[in-house]
Amino acid sequence: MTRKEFLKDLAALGLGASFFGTLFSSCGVQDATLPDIEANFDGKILIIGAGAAGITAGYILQRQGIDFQIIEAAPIFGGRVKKLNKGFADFPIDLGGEWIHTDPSILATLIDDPTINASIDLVNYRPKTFRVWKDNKLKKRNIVSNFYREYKFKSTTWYDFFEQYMIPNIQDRMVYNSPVDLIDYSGDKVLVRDTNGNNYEADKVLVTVPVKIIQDGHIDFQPALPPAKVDAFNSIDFPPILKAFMKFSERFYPDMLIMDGLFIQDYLFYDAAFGKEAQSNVLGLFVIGDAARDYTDLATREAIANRIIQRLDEVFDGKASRYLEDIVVQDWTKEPFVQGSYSHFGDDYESTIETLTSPVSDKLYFAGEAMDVEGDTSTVHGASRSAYQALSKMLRKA
Amino acid sequence: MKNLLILPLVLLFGGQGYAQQAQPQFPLSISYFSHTLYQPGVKLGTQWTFRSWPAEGSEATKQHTLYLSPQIAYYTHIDNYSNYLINAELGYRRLRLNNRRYIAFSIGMGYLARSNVRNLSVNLGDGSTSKQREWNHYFLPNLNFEFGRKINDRAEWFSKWTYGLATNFGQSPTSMVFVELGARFFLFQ
Repeated sequence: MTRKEFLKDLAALGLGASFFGTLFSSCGVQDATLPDIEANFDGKILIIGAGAAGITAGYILQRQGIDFQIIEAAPIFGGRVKKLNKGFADFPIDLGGEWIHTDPSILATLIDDPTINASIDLVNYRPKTFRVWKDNKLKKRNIVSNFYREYKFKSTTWYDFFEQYMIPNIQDRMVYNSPVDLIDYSGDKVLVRDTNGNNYEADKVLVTVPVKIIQDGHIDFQPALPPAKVDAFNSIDFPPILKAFMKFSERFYPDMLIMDGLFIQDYLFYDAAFGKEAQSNVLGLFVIGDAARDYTDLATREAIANRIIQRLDEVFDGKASRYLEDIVVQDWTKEPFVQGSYSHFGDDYESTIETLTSPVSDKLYFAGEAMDVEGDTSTVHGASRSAYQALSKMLRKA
Repeated sequence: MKNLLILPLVLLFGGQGYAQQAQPQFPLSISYFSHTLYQPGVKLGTQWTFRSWPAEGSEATKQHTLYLSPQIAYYTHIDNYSNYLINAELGYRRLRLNNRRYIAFSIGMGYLARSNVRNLSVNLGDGSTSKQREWNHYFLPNLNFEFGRKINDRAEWFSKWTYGLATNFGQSPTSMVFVELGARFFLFQ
């Protein structure tokens, strides 16, 4: 359950009834098993994008002994999974995807390797002190602690998860700084070109770039994608998002501060060190959608940082600027190869997903956070799992 | 085991009809005890009636009772935390003799011990998890509203709604709502 769904449910159904989903998700029920991959394919596959889906796809193909290459636009892997190393604080910080929005056994499911002898420590993320800022008043709402529950990495990050368990197997197959601008699937082979003029050839292509990149036409498909596919992409809302982390010399904030009302959970300040047994006082900001424009419309990171502190000072009587030591701003809207947050679907969710994930000419396949057919779109694990789903389709057809 | 199953049925349906009399002492209650409807648990309790009197008038139709009720309870949020509650309530109950329905109000003080899953470790090979727990302790002052109906002299069902404030010295109080559905058995008349 995402934070947004969480509070929408609250608003719609009232306290209590909305949390059946949380109960069932916490009953130790394993996520749906991943589709089997039939490795009877001897061609080459190009993966466009090295985010959660692209990395996972490479990891799967490498284990199957299938030839592949990953073309990444940025100079690093991860996409919307990004890490701020220790130094800013005494624990690493997820600048992108941060929470684990499902049963944590999904981590083992994604690695899909029973021989691995390792474990990951997680925080059972249940903030205890909640405040709501509304109508210029700070109100206690600790009752929310009875319902709120997710998981977070304790001393690592989502980025570490991929870096440690998937990247070592595939790093020699990755090409960085290569934004793809053309995918020509008109012939027997698929031809891919990046903005540096480099050309790549493969039998099939798995596209895992963010929805916004497709919507804005940064990749020229030849022939053009089917109209239904284009419509499906364009029907997805991909709102702006901003995350920021502030380090303070004193802790003056609750575990979670919900801005602009309890039922609007697009705008949160949260104790980023919660449960991590850290000494640093780090407050995180997560703001998405229209509320994020108050920040993302500003031109510079310095201006954004000043606006954040100004806002916190209003809530906490000037304590933010008094105790501030450092601030890091991650404006995903200005990341050239992301340009926003994650997918928000309209009413026709199921048919949109079906259209998005359907292959084109048995040559183009799609994966990413918007493509998880199990329903966990907009999540890191959903993006990763979508790679299994897409490759299952691709390789079964081969 | 068979006798255990039969006992409640005998108590529920084997009475000799309802009689207008003072509340028997030390009934045993058992209930489904739920925090915010979905965190399941069980509560056991008893009740000591220290005053009971009929309504004034020639034809009394109501019975008033003051009672003290000690209880123990357990509820859980699966994979998240387990809770152990000791509670005592001072209450007033009004029974309508004609339809055998009653309502009750009480004020209580509880002690809540919570075994909380703070961290967990996921085995990446098989997905199994091991949990690291911590204990949290709270006082739980509470207000209660109960309604129910006597089935016969030996049994009654009830539903109870509780609002409490979990309070400890380390943080601000947290509101809690409990719902109960149970039966009370008068074993020792």
